[in-house]
Amino acid sequence: MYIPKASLEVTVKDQDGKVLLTKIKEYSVYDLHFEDNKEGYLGMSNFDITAQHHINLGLEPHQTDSITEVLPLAIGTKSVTVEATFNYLYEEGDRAVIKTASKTVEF
Amino acid sequence: MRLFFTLLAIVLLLPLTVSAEPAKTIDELVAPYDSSKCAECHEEAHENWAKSWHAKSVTDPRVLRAWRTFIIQGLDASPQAKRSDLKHICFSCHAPVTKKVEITDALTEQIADLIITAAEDKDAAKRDAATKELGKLNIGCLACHNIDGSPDGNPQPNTIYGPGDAEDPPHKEEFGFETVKAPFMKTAGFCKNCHHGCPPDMPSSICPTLWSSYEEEYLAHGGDKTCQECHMQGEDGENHRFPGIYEKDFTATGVDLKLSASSTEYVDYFKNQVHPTVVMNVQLKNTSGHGIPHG
Repeated sequence: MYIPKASLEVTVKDQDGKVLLTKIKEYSVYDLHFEDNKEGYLGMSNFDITAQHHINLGLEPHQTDSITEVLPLAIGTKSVTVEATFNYLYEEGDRAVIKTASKTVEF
Repeated sequence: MRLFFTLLAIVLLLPLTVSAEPAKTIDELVAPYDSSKCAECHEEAHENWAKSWHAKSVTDPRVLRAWRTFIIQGLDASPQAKRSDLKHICFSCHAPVTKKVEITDALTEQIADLIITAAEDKDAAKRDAATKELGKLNIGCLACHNIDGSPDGNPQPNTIYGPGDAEDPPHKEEFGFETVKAPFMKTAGFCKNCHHGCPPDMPSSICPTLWSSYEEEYLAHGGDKTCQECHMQGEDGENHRFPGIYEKDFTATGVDLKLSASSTEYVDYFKNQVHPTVVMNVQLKNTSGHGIPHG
């Protein structure tokens, strides 16, 4: 299925590479026709943007979104690596990591 | 898919076509706007353009597949529509030569058939042949430097419109073309025709597009860059590759990603235990000129 999306993902791994936490926020935009909308141009309701509801789940210019997590760990954990990625899902099977930030925290 | 019908308004504003006789073949259609000679002098711009999405405005696989779906699920499925409506809905941006050269219904239907063949025919040779034929319709030099280059919407024949940076280009001596400086081409409004396409008096609440995100969320909140300042960036500011979201390095310039992570301890009072704990915050800021993902 083709739904263009961007995503912000956070992954936490311990010193052995075991994944302890994954959080994902997705950004997408939809234009959808509902029964009570006007009919689309030449009857093509699913293709006429003026006959559709705009559902904006994207990130607009100047806007900042964030993920904050507090993760208590098993006693004896020596370190964790937190990795954040910004990704684009162009279509099914075509995903690109656009930007990455990483930090290792030791205990 | 969302742009299909934002183009209706443009159709109403089209200037008169240059040819009295409607084109019956793709070769007849594109001949008056052949851009092949431009590469003789503008080698770098041509090389960059060849890698751009403009150079695949018809034949990019995603465009072909989306167009196939629109033809089958939209035009064919609606009793009110017909395949020849493509020329009113899609061609002015995807194949802008049709703004200036009239095209028969029969040729429009032939192009629709080629799109479906190129998108989904099981025979790879047929797909390739259809794609090659459709490739003649892709946006070429004269789409911007003539057809859409005149600020008054009335481009003159045998005229090259340019942003005004070049010193006395020899278009007249070499090809018999006049050169007209059109600083308008450096403005965001130049891109608006195709990357917005809604009627001027229609609010974005009815017709939300890439442009309305740029205008209402970027410019209105302090942004001051034009489309070209990001999407034509290059050493000379004239990158005709028009990098976009499919280029990772370019896309990365449109967001800031900040990560902080700190160690602390969590006291589990109920179990009398102290756990190592990490506190993390990730911030993603859209520093581009329009919404993500969009367009």
